[in-house]
Amino acid sequence: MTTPQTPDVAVETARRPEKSSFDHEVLRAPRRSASSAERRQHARRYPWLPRGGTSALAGRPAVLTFVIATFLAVLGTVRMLLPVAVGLADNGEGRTVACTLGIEPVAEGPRYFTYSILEWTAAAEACSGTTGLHTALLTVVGWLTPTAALDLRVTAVLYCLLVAAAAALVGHLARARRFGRAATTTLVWIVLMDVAFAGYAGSLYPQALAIGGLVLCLVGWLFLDAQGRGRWVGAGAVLVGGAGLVAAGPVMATAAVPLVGLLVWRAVRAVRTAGTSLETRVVPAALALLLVVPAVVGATSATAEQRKHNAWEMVSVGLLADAADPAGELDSMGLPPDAGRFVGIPVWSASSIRGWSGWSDLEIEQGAVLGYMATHPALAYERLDTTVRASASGLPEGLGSYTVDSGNPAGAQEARLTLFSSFQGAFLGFGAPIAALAWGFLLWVALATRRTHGVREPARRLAEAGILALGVAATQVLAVMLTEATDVSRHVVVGSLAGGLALCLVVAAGFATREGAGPTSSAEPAAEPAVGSNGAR
Amino acid sequence: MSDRPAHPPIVPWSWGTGPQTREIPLPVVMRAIRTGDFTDFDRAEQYRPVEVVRPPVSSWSLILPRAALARLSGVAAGVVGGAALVVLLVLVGGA
Repeated sequence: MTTPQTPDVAVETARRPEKSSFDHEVLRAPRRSASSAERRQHARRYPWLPRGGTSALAGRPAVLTFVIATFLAVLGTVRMLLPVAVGLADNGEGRTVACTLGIEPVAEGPRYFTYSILEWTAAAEACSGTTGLHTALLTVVGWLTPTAALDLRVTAVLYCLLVAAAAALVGHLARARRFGRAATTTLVWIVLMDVAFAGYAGSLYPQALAIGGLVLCLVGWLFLDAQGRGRWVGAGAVLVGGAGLVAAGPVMATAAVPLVGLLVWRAVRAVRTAGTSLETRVVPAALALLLVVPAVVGATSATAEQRKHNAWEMVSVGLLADAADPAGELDSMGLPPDAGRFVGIPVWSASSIRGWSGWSDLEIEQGAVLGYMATHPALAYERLDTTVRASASGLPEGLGSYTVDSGNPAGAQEARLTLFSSFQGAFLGFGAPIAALAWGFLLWVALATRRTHGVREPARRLAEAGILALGVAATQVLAVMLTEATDVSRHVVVGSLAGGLALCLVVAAGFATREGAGPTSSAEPAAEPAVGSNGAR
Repeated sequence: MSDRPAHPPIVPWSWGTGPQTREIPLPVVMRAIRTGDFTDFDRAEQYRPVEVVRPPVSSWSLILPRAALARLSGVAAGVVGGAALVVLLVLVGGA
């Protein structure tokens, strides 16, 4: 008579084979060479590969990953540079960066709003700007372009390389199921090369640095639990990418909250778990400490004048534009009621408050703005809803993407790859409740996937990166909601991309989930048996 | 019999009114009938079910399992704490 078991016990046993079991030992053994059965399976999985190539790639998934990355890099470069190069027109904020670098456009023509400017030369007239990590990196890019002071096509190509590597590596981890690699690689590439995000690579905006840093950081996070040198590469990518992300500006600096928080969480979890190595405990804590510095730099990077402009824009356009008694509301915020006649006028327009005699003496505390939003929840919700809808709108309105010599009309925005932004626009266009439901669902799936997989399993690594991406998306939306009233879609683009990448990573985690253990587990024998499923629950 | 677990799996059809009694479980009875060896009946005492001390039932535990509630509370605390830190950063930097 067989021993009866409850369904829960049966599921638990199937999910986690004992460490001493035959299955576990067999699956831990590194793969030396591909058997004929594996070659046949590989040939079935990749029928589009030539027969000889299939045979050579069987049992060596990293080679196929490299081939795919190379192919995607070429494809991305073609998408960005041919038949005409794509960038993003400046709306005036790039001028600060140009002044810092001492550059000006090579070609004559309109500088703002209509055409992207990719080629820059040394400026004839000096103007003041602020230095930072973004300008430092653009200086390095300038060294790579000897024909001009700066050619942003180089940054576009660098972005294509980064995107290709990211897409191929996510697909590499999600290859446990049939079509897993192909589906996730394609999905990540389509999201990252979408018109809503790729154009920033050809612009002077600091969002380009933040987007690149986010991608690098998420890819690095996937390899924090890798075997051998891979984990050090992953830690370095998290550090460099995270620094680029949080140092790019005050809004992007808030991404340090989930980033540092999750790193501290990893460190605490490692300390609490018996048998973990010193490296596992120290590296996350060190990364968290190191990332605090660029976060502080990014949070305080705005000048006093920029902060004042931003705060008034939020008060004037964001909160009080429809107020019945703007003077009274300004008075309740501790601002002069006389400024009420400038409410609703954007700060950069000709008739704005900047021409008022009392502007220089006006002091606006950010705390007063936040306090006003706290006491007016309907307005706060409206700001949140506006931010979510802006995150779904793709490119900022009124900014061109083509160069002036491309033959396109002024202000024309390129739309060669809009699959994801169209989907996101249709979905998040419903507003904040739908976004909260969607991101909450993704978080729930990611947490459940993370909980049911061991430390080194790809599904768990992908799910953790997805949680990080969701955290970045949430903090970006929240920060933009609290501080930005104009050009919202550009300010929230990092959050928008993070939400899309979270979707990709959770889908990839689903593809990486396999009953028992997949081929990815066999390539990565566990080095820390003590950090088990129970300890990490 | 040496590798027998401390108690048999809880089976809903055990002898008597259920697994919470001290009756001899049905598999043991069946095995005894099949083999003719009734010595296990003398060890019926060892099949006493494990005493499970359950916390008092509250309205919350009727809605959600406690483990899920704890996780939900952890996630909610993380979200709220993260939002507070974002507000702090905005106040520090002024965006």
